[in-house]
Amino acid sequence: MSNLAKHGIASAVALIFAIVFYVDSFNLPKDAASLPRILTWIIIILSLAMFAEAFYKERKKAKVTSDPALKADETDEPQDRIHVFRIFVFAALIVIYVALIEPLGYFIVTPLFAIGALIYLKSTKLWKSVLIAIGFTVFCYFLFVAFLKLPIPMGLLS
Amino acid sequence: MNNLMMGLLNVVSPFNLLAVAAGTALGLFVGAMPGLSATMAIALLLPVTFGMDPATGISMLAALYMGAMYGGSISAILIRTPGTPAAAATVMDGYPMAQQGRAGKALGVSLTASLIGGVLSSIALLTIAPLLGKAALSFGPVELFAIAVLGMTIIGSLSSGSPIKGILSGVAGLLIAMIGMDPISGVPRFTFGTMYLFNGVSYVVALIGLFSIPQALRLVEKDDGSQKAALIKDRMLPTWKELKSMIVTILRSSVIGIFTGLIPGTGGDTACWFGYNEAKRFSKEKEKFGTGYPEGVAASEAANNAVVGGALVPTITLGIPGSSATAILLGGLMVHGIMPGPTLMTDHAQITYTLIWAVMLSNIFMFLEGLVFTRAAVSVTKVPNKVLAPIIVILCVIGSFTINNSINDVFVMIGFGILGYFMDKLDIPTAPMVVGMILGMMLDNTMRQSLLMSSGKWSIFLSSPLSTILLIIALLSLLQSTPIFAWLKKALFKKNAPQLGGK
Repeated sequence: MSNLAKHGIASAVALIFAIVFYVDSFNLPKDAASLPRILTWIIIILSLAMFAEAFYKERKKAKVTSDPALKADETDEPQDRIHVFRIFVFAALIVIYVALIEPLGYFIVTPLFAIGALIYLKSTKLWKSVLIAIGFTVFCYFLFVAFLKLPIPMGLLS
Repeated sequence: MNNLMMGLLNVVSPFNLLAVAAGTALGLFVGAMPGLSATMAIALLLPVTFGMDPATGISMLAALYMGAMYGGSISAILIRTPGTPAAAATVMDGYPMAQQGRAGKALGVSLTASLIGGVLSSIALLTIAPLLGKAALSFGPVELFAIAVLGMTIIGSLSSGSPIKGILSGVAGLLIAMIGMDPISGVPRFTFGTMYLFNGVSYVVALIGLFSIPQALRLVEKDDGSQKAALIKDRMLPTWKELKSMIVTILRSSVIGIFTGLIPGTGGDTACWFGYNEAKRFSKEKEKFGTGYPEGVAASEAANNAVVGGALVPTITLGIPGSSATAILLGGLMVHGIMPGPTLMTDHAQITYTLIWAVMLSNIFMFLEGLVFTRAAVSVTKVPNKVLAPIIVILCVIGSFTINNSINDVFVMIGFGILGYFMDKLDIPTAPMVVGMILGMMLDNTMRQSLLMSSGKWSIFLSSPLSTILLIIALLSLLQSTPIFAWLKKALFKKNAPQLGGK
């Protein structure tokens, strides 16, 4: 996705966020709505300015890259590839992990998440992944439950 | 004076000493890990302090901050990757020194400079904070409003990247802070019918997400490259003669660090470059910088440790965080039911003065632990990023849950984390958003109280000389980031250009 398109989406999101709050502020007494309304106007202006800035930069860049000498230089730069799919799966794993904490219990889901994530990310050897996951969960148990006595959801273990 | 002594007595109690020593050691190791920043380490350690006495917990977090500032230099020197962004400038001369077989000396210079920078900043904290705290007590809503506005504009316009994005992030944070029960009129604002939002969005939950989850996602973006750490073969501590030759640079960098810390929103990452560049500018041997020159290491390391004390000054006297790490310290105070602001120095003097002394003490622990543990900390620089990422997530989850024992908070944390990741991709800084969430209520309350006092006249904000000056500075800090200022500069430069050329 181009830089301009990314900024376009970000500006749109900020605009929607501001407009929703602006509209909702009419349900409030005048006094309570005053600062939020000022803030929403500032966000509306700044999100448009952000898009304009990105547009201006894109045009400037387009002018520069139209120069063949400079263009050749730029494409030579090696770029590290970002594994988009991997991040998506990792983020999905995090959401599933959080969703299962309450029904199953923190100390059941945590080692499963850690093993799953470490294996998926090919972080280290299988036996090491299992060892890290279980070791870290035990550490968390002793630190948060036994030592700090914080109420952690136990789920099935309760 | 009484409070000062009480704080000192409090900090030397065995448990507090242990907490400060443990915090510093943890900071040293965490700082040495390239994947973890000081800010994130404090966010992750936050839940551990919930069960402690507030003074002990906050002291431990501050000690961690100090320890991490030195820890960052270990990986900067040995593997050319700054352990924390605040050690970015240390790489410049630290790594070449390690290449030349002087890794131990580089670390020793870093440790000594960190100690001096840290001690000086602690002294600054100890002297400026009580004075500013006393002055802040006389501030009314008008002055506090001006301070909050100034804090926001400085953070927005000074944060890295485009000022438009910085301010947008800050204002969005302010608007998020409006969610929840309005303390003045008692009506729920922007709760959209959900009970969960009645108490507002906890900014501690948001900042754990914003500072940690994006980093965890970034760590899995790319495959790890294999890095070989340089070996420490030589002795660490610099000789008296070597120290004497660098002392001016260290003192200059310390002052730079303290002032950078004082300015809201700028932290160690700015200070280290500032200190390094100034050292280079004043040096008679400019060409030696970047080739393994110990002064380069000292300049950046003294500056980043000096930030700690400086950044704590506005944090504890005004409730405005001086850096993103101190924003989390404020969060820690709020979890313990202590509202940050001018009353912190009086109503919670015991906590505040214990914290100040803990910062001072953490320097000494950092120095001693640095001498003992630096060789051991080399091993943590080798922890693969892809192992670190799931562990960060697990700690974020437990941390955000334990604040209110609510699973909804964990979802909010993940939501902010994903938002933070996208913001990072667009170069929108996340720190202003957090500060906005902290200052939101203060801004709203003080604005409405002032307007009530003046029966709705906005001119009240210009009625006090202090607030007028602060608002003018706020306006200037905004203007300097707009094209208007650039045009003015250009116009002035054009006028002067022929004269300069003629000389």
